[in-house]
Amino acid sequence: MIRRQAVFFAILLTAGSLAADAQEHIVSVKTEEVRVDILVTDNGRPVANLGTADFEILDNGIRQEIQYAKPQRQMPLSATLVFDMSRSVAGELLSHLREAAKGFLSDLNKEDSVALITFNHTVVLRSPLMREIERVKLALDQTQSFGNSSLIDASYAGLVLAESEAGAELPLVIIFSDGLDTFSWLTEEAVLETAKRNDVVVYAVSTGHLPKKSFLSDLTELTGGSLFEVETIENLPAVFLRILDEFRQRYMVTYIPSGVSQSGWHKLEVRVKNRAAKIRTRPGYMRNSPAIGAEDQH
Amino acid sequence: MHFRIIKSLNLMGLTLIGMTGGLNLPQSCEIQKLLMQFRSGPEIGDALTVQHRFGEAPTLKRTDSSAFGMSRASTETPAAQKNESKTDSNYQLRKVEEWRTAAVQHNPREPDSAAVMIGNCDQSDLELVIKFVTKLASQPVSTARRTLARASIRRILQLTDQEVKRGDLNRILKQGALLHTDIALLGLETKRPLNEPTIAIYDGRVAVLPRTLHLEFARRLIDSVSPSPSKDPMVRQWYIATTAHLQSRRLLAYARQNLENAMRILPSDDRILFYAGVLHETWASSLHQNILLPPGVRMTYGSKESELKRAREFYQQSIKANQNSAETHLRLGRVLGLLGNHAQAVAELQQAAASVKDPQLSYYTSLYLGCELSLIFRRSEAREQYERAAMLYPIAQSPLFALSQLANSSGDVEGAFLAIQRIFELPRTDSWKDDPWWTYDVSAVRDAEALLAQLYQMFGGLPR
Repeated sequence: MIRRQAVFFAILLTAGSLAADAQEHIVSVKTEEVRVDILVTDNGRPVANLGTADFEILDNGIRQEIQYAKPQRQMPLSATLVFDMSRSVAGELLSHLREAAKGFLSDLNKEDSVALITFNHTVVLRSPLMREIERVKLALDQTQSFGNSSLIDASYAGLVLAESEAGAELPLVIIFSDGLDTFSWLTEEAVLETAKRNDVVVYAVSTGHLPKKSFLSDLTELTGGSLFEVETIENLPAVFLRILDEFRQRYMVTYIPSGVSQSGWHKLEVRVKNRAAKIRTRPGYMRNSPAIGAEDQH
Repeated sequence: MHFRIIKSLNLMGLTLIGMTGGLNLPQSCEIQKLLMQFRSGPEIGDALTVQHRFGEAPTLKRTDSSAFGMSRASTETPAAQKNESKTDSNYQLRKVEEWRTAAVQHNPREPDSAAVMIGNCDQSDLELVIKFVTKLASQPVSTARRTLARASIRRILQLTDQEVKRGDLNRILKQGALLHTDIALLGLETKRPLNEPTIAIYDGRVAVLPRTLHLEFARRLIDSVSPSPSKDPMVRQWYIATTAHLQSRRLLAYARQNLENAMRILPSDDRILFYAGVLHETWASSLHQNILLPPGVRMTYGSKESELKRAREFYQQSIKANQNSAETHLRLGRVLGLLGNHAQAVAELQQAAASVKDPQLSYYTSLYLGCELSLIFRRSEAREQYERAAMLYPIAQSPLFALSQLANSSGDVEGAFLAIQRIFELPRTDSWKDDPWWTYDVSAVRDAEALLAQLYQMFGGLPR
């Protein structure tokens, strides 16, 4: 689901006159706010200084009234790092990964918070979401690579943690892996289904070339993020910094959906008015309906 | 990627025991060249034993041949020293005699000097010996009696009067098979052919292994047992124990070769059919489907779906032969579910659940039953099954992932998070035993060690 923040409208209804002894009825109407994370680029460069009036959003083809559009850089960042520590991430690669992650952490602002999950066949929370960056760096130093890879399980854990722990800010998940899952219990489909239901933006970094259609490419596309396939591991620090920079250049646009169905898949179309800009955002979101039926059927 | 594959190949000496599947390589493939480099690498000529605990990189214990009472020079073939022709019948008989003496002297399961010597033997010499012995064994009894009665043959093969009288080479064949089995399983084979390599898969990466000859020699000997190998319980035990061992070490390509023979000899054996099902089910797993292959290389096993269908076929045949195996019902249930037959899957899994006693099998049953029930929208029953699995193995993460995802798919975001929190709070021991899901592919052969012990007991009891 796209983050649905409950907005309560208290409607004061009075029976009869406005006299002090009038009987009062309070009706609470719960509605949902949809938050969409958008990257706008022009000739490959992020476009800055856009405002609410510059965006246009269609939800299932229906134009929506935008509440506000805010650059991400004006908000604290909530990042969850999900790092592959399986056997294939060893030696030099692990050193470069640590260096890249530390560079990323050092570039964060003091209001930003970060969590660290590592995985081989086990999925481990090394550090919960916190602002004490030095503690996260320490946790990073204590990691060792061995075993096989539960990439899918770990990605799921990252999505659920990021969604649940993030506050007002839009959660960012960065997955580092060689892109191969060998030991997960969950299926790719289950994780992609989860991604449709929350508003986490996933960036992924993979060493080497993955098949054209891979779990990581699907996940990043579905969440409006990007997949970086790193040719040489020396480039890892630059890629991590690029992700941070790119994420900060994004906009968070919110609206309260109207004229659209309460449930099911909502296709999103985002445009920037009067500008031939390139938009990267999630293709849609799932609203209210459980994935496979709400009730037990016997 | 290129870098990684080369790295894997350089580790080949360390990956003799690994996760293998079959593979086809073009002759000009780069891997062939790398394999050549490996062949001339430092490992050759030494006796190697590989100690391996699942989930860890295998560690290599290098033992010089001299440690087994042999110097490198002594392993040189006399033919090379004397320029004697290999086609000379005296030379051939001497090789048969050496082989037979080694088979008699060899102590089951020990890397003794007899096994090391045969492990170091020239491949073509051994080929001569195996051909000679299996040809003798395949003669009609009347002819065999006459041949075995010849003094030289009788002496070389160390035959008893009764064996000569019966024209029976079974003891010789079985002792020879045991010797070659041990050479293969103990990693004493030093001269391996470069063609038809198999592979090892580690964390999605491929490493190439040379083909093993000694298992083939053992198979050829055991298949020559008379009057019919299918009627000899030792033959069945050999196939079951060695297949279980190979599958437990994830040497699946080798296990397949074993099973192909075993199914010719014992086509209706429920255990052999069960192992064949396990082999194909394993090939359908992420471990074998999610791999990065070098250009020009393709796997000899099929897609996930085709392998699942083959597994289903073998499990169904196995159940026909023996309806009482809860484990076969469990595995058939899982495979049916993965093929989309959820209602049938539930029926099979419930049948398994009714009789399964082993905690590990109970865990799998609950986990798979939970999965199938959730897919047919019986969520509360699914939850019960997942919780049961979590109770059986309290530090396993898979049932908790299943519970989280079940909650998430019902729109219960908080429930999904709470289950993930339970995972994060699990004590970490880094043991593969924490979650039996990680060892499902080898769980069917968890008795491999016991089966091998039975084999050694049977074969070791043969008079020398």
